Amino acid sequence: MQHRPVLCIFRVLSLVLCAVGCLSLGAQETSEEAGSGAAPSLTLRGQAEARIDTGAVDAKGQVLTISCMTCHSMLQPQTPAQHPQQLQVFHQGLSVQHGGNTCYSCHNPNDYNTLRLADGRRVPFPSAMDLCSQCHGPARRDYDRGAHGGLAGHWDATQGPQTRNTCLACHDAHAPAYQAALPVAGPRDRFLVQPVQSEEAGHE
Amino acid sequence: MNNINRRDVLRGAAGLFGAGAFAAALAPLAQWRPEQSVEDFLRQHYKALNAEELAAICRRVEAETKRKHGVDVQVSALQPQTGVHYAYALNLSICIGCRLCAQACHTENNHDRPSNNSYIRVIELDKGSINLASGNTTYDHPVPAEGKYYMPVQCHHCRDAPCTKVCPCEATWQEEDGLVVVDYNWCIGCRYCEVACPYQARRFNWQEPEVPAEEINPQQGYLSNRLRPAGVMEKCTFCAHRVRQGQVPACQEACPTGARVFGNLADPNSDIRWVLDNKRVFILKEDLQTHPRFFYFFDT
Repeated sequence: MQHRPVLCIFRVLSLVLCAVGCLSLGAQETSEEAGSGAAPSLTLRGQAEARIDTGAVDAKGQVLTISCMTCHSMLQPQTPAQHPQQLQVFHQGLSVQHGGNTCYSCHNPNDYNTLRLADGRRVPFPSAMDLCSQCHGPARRDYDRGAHGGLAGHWDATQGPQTRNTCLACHDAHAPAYQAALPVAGPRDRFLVQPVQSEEAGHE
Repeated sequence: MNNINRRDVLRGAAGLFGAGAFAAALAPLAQWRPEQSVEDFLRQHYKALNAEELAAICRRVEAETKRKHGVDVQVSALQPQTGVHYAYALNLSICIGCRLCAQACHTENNHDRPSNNSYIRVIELDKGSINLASGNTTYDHPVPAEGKYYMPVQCHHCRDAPCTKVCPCEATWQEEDGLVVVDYNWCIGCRYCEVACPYQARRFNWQEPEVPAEEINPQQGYLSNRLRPAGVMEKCTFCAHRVRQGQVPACQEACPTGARVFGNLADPNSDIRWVLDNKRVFILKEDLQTHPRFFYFFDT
């Protein structure tokens, strides 16, 4: 067959058009951009307050708490009490199992509305995590970088609110050891449990 | 008529009998109702669908769910976000084996109730080794137990996934953001992927999952937690219907100890990147070179 230039041009042109067409088809699938421009919102669970639980509830079922200063503005501290067992009145049921720490390791005898660091610097109750960080530095470093304490809500802060824990959300400051718990039910697979003989089950 | 002999009569009787048997065999066709609509049968592969076709399919799934279970659901087909590559890390120093992640997966993903199915399986192992063969998944004592540690295992969404390679009809593939997904309407149920997965992450539906109507999670994704039929494969999707909107997966939301860290590998300021750069990280079955997106780490 003779070599016909017009046909060659047609073939090349159709190939090019096919390629362009395929590329434009591929570009039709749009992906959503990450981030909707929402303002980041962070909720912290377990914020500490300078209040104590009285053990009673009000008419609406809310826990009744009183400020530490309600009593400690009137009473003198019972020095040198190291542990609640040494106290004569109040705080009797408090169990403290936190290494070698004593009451005044954290609590500020000069102002019971605040806490204090090891060097005596005053720390407000909402910043109680700074006390934990004095000894538990690696855990605090991990926490600040999201590797400790978890995250609920949105991994992308621009797309929705986030909720995080403070140390006290999981660790009771007086007895911080994480308590053992029973796990929820595990898998009940066919090869783990006895098969139930019924007409619908058929032959397994 | 006078030349009819014994052979002709026998032939005629046998022919009549054969015709009758053929008609009886075809009789069930009269009651046959196709499970799929014609549109579903003629549709293209998921990756070839445009937005309208995908939306129409989601509406059909919603209508089918309403017809079968009487529940109104919203089935979304969220596309991957640009510049996002998911990864998940799990802190073995902190996991206590409570299985709340497995339970959250169970309720979020509309799993079969009688078998308490979940995409996550928590393995109790002896400290000092990773001997998966001697691990226990059915422990029932207070946790954490002395001398044990706990390793939840789910789909790792491997970057070089063996499961997607063996699928004969490409019902499972890896998306741009890293999620390995399954189109339940495309899967033929051959279970090759279940055999190929080295982490036993895949689940097969021998029967249709039983979920009470009032417990069905109505926020569903076409590729993730919609109600699956019998005879198809399924697995963890990192809660695609959640993470593609910026939410954390249900397992991380439920973890009480904060052992789980999910995030975007492409974001240099993300928590997951810090974990991978600063913690003692390892992956399961590294010798198989699956390059998973699920990492385990220790604090010390």
